[in-house]
Amino acid sequence: METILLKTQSLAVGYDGKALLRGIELSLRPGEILVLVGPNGAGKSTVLKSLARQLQPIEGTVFLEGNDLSALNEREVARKMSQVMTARVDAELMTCEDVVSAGRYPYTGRLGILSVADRQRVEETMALIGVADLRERLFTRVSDGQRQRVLLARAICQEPRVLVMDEPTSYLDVRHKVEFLTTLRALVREKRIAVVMSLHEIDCARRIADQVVCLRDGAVDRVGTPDEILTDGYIETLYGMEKGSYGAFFGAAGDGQFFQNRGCRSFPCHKGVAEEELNCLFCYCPLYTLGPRCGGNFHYTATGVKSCVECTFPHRRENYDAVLARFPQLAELARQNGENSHDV
Amino acid sequence: MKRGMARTALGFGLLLALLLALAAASLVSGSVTLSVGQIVSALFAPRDTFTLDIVRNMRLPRLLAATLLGGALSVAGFLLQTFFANPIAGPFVLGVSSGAKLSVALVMIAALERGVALRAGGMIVAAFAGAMLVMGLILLISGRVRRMSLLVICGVMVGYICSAVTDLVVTFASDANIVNLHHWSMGSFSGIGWESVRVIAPVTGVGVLCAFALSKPMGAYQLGEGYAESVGVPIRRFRTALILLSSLLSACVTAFAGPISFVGIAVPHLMKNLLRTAKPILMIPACFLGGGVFCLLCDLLARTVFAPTEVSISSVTAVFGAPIVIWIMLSRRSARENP
Repeated sequence: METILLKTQSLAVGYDGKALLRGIELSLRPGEILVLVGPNGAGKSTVLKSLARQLQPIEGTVFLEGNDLSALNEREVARKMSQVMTARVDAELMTCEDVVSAGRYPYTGRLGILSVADRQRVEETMALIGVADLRERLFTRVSDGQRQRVLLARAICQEPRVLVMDEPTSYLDVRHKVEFLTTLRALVREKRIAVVMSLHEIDCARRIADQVVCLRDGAVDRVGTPDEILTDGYIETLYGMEKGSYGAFFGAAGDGQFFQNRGCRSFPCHKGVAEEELNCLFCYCPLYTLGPRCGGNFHYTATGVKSCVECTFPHRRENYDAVLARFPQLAELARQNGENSHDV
Repeated sequence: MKRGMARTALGFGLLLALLLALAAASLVSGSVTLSVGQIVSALFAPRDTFTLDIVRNMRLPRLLAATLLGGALSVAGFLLQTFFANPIAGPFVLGVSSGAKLSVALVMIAALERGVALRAGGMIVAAFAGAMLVMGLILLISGRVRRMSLLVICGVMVGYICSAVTDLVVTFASDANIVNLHHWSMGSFSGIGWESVRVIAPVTGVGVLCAFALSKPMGAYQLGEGYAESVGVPIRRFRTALILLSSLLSACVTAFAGPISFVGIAVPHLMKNLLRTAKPILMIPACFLGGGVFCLLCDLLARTVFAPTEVSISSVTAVFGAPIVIWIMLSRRSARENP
């Protein structure tokens, strides 16, 4: 019988004393991953902030290893729970190692000087997450994928029992999403950490979650394993889609790994969106990572994002054969890049 | 790691050497040029009372005051930059110095009307009150506007308003001491005696030490408020401490030397580039030393370039500081455009 690391009891969360979501009952054991899904604005971040004590619960209690979260002091919480949040980290002149070392805060003395043991822990964590070669690099100069892994390393370095993450994969392309989630899963199983996170991508949730919690219309709609819950029909209800549209669209794509961001305002794919708003790497086009070799028309925006607004090779249904034909090239590219190199 | 440590050692060595060299130069030069020999003999075998008077009662306290106040101002700037996560925040730009100036001017004139001379301690209290008032206003504004550039513009405007009111008050004040007041309101280290230094030293000393003691949470805060909180920084207490300390330090400077521009922004930036780090545990001592060096140099120039006329210290610090601020803004913009 294992202990329960994180538990909520009739939790209501919201802002300014007004509850946005009520009756949240979660319970997490070591090594489990719980994923929150739901349409934009359903309150995923609000729940996560309340679990991470950034927001005061409106009602109910959060228990961290059996103790009332609000009764613990800052240091006690910091030694048991760490976070990867969506806020942009602007770490001026900090190397990736400095950022990871920041996770040792609850364990260092008055002036925050790292001991030999602390340094060793930082080094181990960076190696474990595969960012050891970034040690001397400036945090602001590494790619989004690397940055997110460094932030994960920082959170792990804090040696938490519970890890809270708000959409940790949202700015990553397919390859980095898969890498990030694979690393996370291995880590969680090995270190017996409990993870609560929100994800936009249903298919990622399906693959990584032990428990899925669906938020809809101010309440927890369903809780269970991904296989029980994430049926095509239910996904359509959850996101308020037309009956049959999810299956029709993703069924054709084979494994349904891509194009699932229905919240995207340019959905279905590349439809009249202002260029400066492009940041989603375009609905996870499977060929996006091929860069200039993807085969479609594109250009780079002023912010350096590859814009496919006038793509001549869209992954529309009638074009799937052509898209699929390019998949071997994608695999080839991944092989060329190999395990150790990182694109910038 | 090794390279970083060598750089740190070298940087601090350079700062100390500069500080000593500038201190020596400040003792030697002035409207009466003295030789090193004269100074040494005056200090250790006091026969020449004229030299002794100049060195001990004028140049030495002024030198100490410029070093300590310069250091305090730079540390205050660094604290504010950390607080607002903005490299061009500083006591002068945010109007805190001007607020302190206004408050001191009002209290000084009120005191003079009643025939009471304001003492050093009273000046600090008055300046601190003014600094805290403006700080409160800036915090209110920062709660409403998220854009940092807008906050700085608001700060500059508040500064202008305070300066305008100060000028008005000074113009219509009816005392003979008005000359002094006017001189002070422009910013100057001249006329600082031992009585003031005896107050400046403990106040800046305690302030900077407290800031140093906060370097651990400051390091965490540089990653953002959310992260600082998640690693166990008591965020409310920490933010309050930052505000109080930076206000105290800049108030102390304004009380004795008037508002001094740009030091609070330029020095932390120079130090970051010198040491190639933003770690508070290194930056706070470096800013203190660097601020001392910067202000000593500027004070030396202020009193020697057009000797015997003295230029206001702010004119000199602005000449060196303002280009640095422009440099910061341009380099940040280009960093953002070509990531």
